[in-house]
Amino acid sequence: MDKVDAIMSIENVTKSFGGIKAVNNVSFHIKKGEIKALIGPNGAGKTTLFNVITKLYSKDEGKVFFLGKDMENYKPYELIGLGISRTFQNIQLIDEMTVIENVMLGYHSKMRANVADAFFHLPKNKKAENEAKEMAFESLKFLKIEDTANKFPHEIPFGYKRLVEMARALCIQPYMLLLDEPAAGLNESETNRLLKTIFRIWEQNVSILLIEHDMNLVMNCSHSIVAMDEGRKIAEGPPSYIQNNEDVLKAYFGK
Amino acid sequence: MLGGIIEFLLLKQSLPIGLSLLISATVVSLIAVLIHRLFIAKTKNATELSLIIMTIGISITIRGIVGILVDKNAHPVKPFLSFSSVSLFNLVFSSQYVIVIFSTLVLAFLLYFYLKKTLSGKIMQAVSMNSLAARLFGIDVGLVQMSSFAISGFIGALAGAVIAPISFVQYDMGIMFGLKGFAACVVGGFGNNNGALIGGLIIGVAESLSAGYISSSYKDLIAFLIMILVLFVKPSGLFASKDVERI
Amino acid sequence: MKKKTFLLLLFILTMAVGIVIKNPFILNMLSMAALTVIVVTGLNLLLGFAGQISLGHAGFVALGAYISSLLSVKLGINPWVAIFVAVLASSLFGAIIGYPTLKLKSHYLAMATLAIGEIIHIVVNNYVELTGGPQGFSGMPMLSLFGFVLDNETKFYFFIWPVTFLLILLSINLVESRFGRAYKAIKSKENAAYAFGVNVHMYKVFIFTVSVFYASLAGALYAFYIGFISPSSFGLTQSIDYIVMVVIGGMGNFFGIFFTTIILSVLPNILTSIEDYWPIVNGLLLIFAMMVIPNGMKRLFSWIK
Repeated sequence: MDKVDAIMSIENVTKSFGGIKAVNNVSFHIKKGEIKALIGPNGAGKTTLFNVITKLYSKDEGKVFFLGKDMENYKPYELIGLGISRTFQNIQLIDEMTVIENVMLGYHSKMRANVADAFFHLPKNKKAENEAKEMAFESLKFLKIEDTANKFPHEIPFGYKRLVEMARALCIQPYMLLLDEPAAGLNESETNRLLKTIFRIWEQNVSILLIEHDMNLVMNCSHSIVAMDEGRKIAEGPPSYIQNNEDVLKAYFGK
Repeated sequence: MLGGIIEFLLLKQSLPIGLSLLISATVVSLIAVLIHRLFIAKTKNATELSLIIMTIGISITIRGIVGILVDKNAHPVKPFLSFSSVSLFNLVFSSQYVIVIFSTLVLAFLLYFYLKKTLSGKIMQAVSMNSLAARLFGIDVGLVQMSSFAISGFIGALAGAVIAPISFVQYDMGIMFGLKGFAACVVGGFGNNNGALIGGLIIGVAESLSAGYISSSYKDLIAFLIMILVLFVKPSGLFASKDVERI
Repeated sequence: MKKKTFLLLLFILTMAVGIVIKNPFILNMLSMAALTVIVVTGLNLLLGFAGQISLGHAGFVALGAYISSLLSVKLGINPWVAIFVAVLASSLFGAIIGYPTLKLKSHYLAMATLAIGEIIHIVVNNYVELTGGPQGFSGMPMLSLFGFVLDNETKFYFFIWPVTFLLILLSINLVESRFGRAYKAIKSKENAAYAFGVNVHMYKVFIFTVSVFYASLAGALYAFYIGFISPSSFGLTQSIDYIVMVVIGGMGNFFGIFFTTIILSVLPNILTSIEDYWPIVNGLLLIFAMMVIPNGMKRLFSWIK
């Protein structure tokens, strides 16, 4: 595929842990405005690959490009500045902050107030705080959970926590959103709501890469799927192709 | 510190050295188990930070109690052997130093053997690396933690007792040893027992040299300066095993 | 009630206490408590918000005290300039030493900061020609403000408390900004901090430096107030006292810490007969707090938003 269409290209990425290749020479592209899913049985290397993309792990070989930029040159905390945002499989909300404050953390990188502004609570800090609050509230409203704004994470149901994580990730209006098992722990109606939410995010021109176990969700929402097994990419294509691919079936059901 | 103090008290009752060593080490490891049972295991939702704060609390409590029950003075302890020095290759060593070195080597070997060659040693390492996974495999993590408390209490007490004739015993003698042990680990690299031994050696030699060439009052400083230097230059330690990620 | 409103009420109360009470012994005790509040407020930023422990803070108090005193006595520099230079130099030292140290985590960090505190203590104790060693160091002039010499307990009381409240106000401001949110993230969910653009290591170094700033400033003011300093005031015991105050006060809770610090620094002066038991009390307090009330006195002050 042409690199120009791609928002992110993963090229020959390999990552080993003590001799075991958790990710073995994997390549694929994510097109602009595409919902791409990464599937595979447990231990297939999805999460490792995800952590390589988000720079929590360093990779052994290969390259990752985002909008033509080699991600090698960026630190994990610089990805958000490029427009890459993410949610976590094990909820990473900060318990001692309210929902809106948690979402405002998502706007951190766009706030221009420096420490002096903060220490003396100068007008610049006030302005930045108000703007962040507004953006955070917009983000909550977009996901229709603005009524939780002043609650603490432990006061809201699990399904809402996932949505708060999404609101936080969307707060800076990223180009690309990485979703790490967004349906894990959700019941059926919550998953349906998630599906609609993912589409509404996609309508905002956000490209999405998601890791997911819930086949129903993956088949219903993604344009293209990459299947992994034992560190390798075993298939790539639209849902209809993946559903009938022999290698994928073998990986999941054996034989 | 406890090891040294208890040994001192027992020796005062004119118990034989071997027996007093054994008793003090055993008593301390029992105390360690008790501490684990009473405090560490009972703390719900313990984060690493809260456990650190708790151990600080425990250590200053013990020191405070000893400071009152015994006193705060430094007490001399008689060397273990009746003759004060041995000569080897025309060099004269104080007999207690030989004992310290000998027991260090024996303990290091035993620990190495235990951790690498026995099942329970391997289990202990597994728990330290990933306690959740270990629990899933049906390992009683609490029990393993308790025995590691006992072992470290035993070794610590032995070390305190053996070093006592050289350093005197005092209610706050433990901190410097603990700190220098830590410095040795940093210099040698964590997760690497041999590295820690070499690190300890480097620090010990540097200390003696500085005591000779600069001033003995700055002897303690050298260990920490070396440690900070290593932290700056090679944070993973000089002999770090490769798979230790500390960031 | 808002934090800043409550802070203002507290400030008025403190000033009223200063007007009503004429007993120099009590005023002196409260001024010393104020100095401790400054150190502990700084440590609270580091330990309570960013979740990074320091067992060497007494060492940084010593740095501020000794550098400013030496500059003033040996070189005859104006006390305010001496304090300014000392605090700047200590903070710089904190930043440099914090850079490698804050790469360490949990108990490694605790041990490394303990070692830093010990290094400072050893140097101060042994460099007798310069610091006077264990005998201590004296000869610092009284501070004066606009030609108004702070030569008695009442005057110093009315100088140190406004400074303390200003420093608390500044740290509340910091915590209520984007940096406060970043530090809370670093404390409990470091991966989230990374994901949303927080340079975790540099943030840790920065907050460490700020807390060294607070500690060294308190040390310098202490030196000029008492006029005499000795290494025994800046040992591990004091570093642990500071930790106890932050923990019992409720990590991250300004007002819980405020009252705890005042109580715990005043009490030993009143209960001099149990001096020997004080470390045990401190130790048991820490154990008790961690087992029963890990949030310290936070609950008591939860009505302040």
